[in-house]
Amino acid sequence: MRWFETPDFNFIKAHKIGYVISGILLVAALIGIFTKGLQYGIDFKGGKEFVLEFDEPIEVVELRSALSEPLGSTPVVKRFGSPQDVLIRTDNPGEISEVQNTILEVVNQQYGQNKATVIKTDIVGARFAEDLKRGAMNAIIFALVVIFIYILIRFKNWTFSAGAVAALFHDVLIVVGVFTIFGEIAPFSMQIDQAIIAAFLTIVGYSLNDTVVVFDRIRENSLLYKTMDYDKMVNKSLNDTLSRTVITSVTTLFVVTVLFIFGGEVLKGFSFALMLGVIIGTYSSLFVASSMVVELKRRKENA
Amino acid sequence: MQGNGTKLVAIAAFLLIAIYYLWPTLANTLEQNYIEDLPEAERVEYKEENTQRLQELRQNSLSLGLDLQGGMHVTMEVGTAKLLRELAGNNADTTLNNVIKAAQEQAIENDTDFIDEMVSEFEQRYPDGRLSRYYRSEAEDITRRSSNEEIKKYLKKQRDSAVDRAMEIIRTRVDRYGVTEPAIFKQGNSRVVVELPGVANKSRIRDLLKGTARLEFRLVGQPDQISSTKERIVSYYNQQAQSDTSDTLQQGGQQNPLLEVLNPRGRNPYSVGYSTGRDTARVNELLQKPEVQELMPRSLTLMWGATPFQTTQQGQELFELIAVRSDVEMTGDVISEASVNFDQTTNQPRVSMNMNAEGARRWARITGANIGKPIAIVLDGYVYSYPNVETKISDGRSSISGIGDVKEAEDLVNILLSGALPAPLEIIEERTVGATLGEESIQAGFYSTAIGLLIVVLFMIAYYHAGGAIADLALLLNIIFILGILAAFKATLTLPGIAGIVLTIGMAVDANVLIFDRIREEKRSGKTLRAAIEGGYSNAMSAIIDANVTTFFVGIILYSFGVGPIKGFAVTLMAGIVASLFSAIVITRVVVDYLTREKSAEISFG
Repeated sequence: MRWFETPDFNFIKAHKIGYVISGILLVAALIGIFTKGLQYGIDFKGGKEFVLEFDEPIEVVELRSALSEPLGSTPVVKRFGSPQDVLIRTDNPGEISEVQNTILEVVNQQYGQNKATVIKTDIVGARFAEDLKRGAMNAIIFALVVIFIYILIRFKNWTFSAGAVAALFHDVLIVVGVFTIFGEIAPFSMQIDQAIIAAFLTIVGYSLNDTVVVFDRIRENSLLYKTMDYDKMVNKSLNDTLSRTVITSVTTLFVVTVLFIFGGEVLKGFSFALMLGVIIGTYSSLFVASSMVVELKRRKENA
Repeated sequence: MQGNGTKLVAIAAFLLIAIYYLWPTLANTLEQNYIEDLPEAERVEYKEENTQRLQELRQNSLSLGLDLQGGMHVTMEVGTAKLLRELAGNNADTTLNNVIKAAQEQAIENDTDFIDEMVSEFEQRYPDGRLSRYYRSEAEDITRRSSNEEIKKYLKKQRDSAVDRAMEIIRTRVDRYGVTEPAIFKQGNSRVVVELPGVANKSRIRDLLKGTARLEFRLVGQPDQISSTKERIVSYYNQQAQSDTSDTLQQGGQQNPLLEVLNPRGRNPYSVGYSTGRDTARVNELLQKPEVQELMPRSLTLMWGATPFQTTQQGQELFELIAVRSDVEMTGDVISEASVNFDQTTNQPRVSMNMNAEGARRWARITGANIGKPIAIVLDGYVYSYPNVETKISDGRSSISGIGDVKEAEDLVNILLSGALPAPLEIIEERTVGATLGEESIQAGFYSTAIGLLIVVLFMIAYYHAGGAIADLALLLNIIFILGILAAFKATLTLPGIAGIVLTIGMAVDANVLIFDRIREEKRSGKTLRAAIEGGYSNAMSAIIDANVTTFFVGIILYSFGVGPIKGFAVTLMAGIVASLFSAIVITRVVVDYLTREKSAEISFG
């Protein structure tokens, strides 16, 4: 089997289309993020989350309204995978055991025969959440700085660093945008928590992987084809590595899709972020990172 | 095969090391399966006979995170603000309170040390002020003349010991609760993390963890009242046993349920009896029955000794059940200092305590009125000791003698000081996963790994033919290496960790994809297969290194900033990169070289 044996796509020429697509996605993501705000999960916001497993399936809406008054505010009540399992999230500031008892009492009154057991709890204090958020922020900033410096040292050219980091921002922003805009209607949790941050950083690592392979080929080809136009040479490099880019993306996409389908409810958001990340990361290595390098080099020479 | 000899040796060595580290995990799994298949009776016996070996196997096995085996993870914080106020005692005023309050906000805002912030805030507000106005300690040599810097050091030391004391209390409580292999460790300056595998009763554990360490001084009960109460309770259960017997037709065979778990021979008139550590819960249950409670005089309370008074030859620890008065004479908030020293005549270790002025007055009254009688020192409902009062003590000093060794004395000091622990513990994070959910996660992780692996393996063969099959072989070895690395570093396998392995399966083939694509390219440019292979491996190398180094960086960063399960993800990601580089570059090369050189085979790369 051979895909893209000797491809000759003009990626650099197509970069305008790429810019338009990326531009639309980025603007949509930014609008989503600024109007709705980041949808933080319990890790970064604090609160109490209980997952209850019932013997029989139950109606989420009914449970939500039953819980609203005893808890003092309307809790988030969502299905957690199977119809027997529900996730209840409340910002009731009371003592953990008391809140849990309140919930169980209501459930007992409402559903009597249909017994419920608590199978998972996540309780995060507001200040601890603040710490976790700061840790995540530091991780992201630190990762970007380290990557920028590494590429700078390795390729001795800031246009490469800028291209790579721009592609990373592009990828992560779009994924965050999707999570923000579609978080409420998704059938699984799409809130930004620690696992999602881990996914973002993995996307960063992955997308960089793709980008770096292309850059490596550009570096090699720039020595081999000294007379070739820079943008043609970059385009050749993209085509040379296209088969590899696609194959690796396909195998990675396979496994993250498997994780999404079979990995259980806990990993749904995480693996969904990875799925998006692999797709967008591949796209950005082909249409964004290298085009940026060409563009930056042209501007540098014109200036 | 020049150079491949070393590679072969390296592969064999790494494989052996991986298997060596994975062996206990494998053996443990086999043992567990074996035990589960045994009939009930033999199972207990087998477990008892092989306790040590089974425990060693378990300890050396790849451990599962709480998200997989079920359990409870709790982070608690020692209230530093309260501690700072308490340490100042009567000297605390509005000025100090305001400084502490402002410092607390700033410490959160800037992610800095609370005590550093507090001292600098104070100095900022009162450039000529001295913190020695608030803090004094004879024991730590903190006087009126101590500099702010010295006081900062002193306060930090106090906080550290407060955290250590909290951990000590928690460890005692958790051990008594009967959790197997709990993990208790310090996080940052003022946090304690407690990990309790297999814990289900959450509310009780919560109370156990944050219950204030309450130190009490109580008188013990009257000997004749104690013995008559004991008789009443024992005979109540005798009757119970007899009425049960009539149902079962088994004449006289039914044991008194209380005496089955409690030996009623007290070591002294104040002790009701003793039990093994495991039986104490059952005894409590029997004594809590309302009918039994009615037989108890209201002035008496039964409490367990905190430490075993004896260990049997079978290794069972025996605990005393002691009858103390229900009235509390004095609580531990009067203890100002406690330390270990040695009795000058007997040279035995003992614990000396100092009380504040009010405590000293009350202590004098209590001891004066009870010469010759024991006073029980009770912490969190457990009796630590009940020494006899020898003389009236009027200077607020007291000591506990008759302690086994220095270590025990140190523990006791620790406990006494925990009784006076001025800072409350607050649960700031709690995560629990039920055992069934954990099992489901293990299964989900297993299926994901198996299916992911299958798809990638088939895809590689379809796309790269023989080359793909070689890459698949490397991939399988790769998984053994990853698990071996995890076992060797005693890493914990979590659900995100498994996700990391699955992800690695997808990405591990990348290095081979880079190499094989390069080989195809070289062949297209007219090279022979050998030359193409040579060129493929060497030319792909720089791209492989670059791509993996960056992902490895991400792994390191995730590891240093992440907590719990995310750390598990970072670890498998990093282990995966190391292992996959080795297997993709070295292992496939050896196989490819062997086939093309020795066998002169034409390997197809699709």
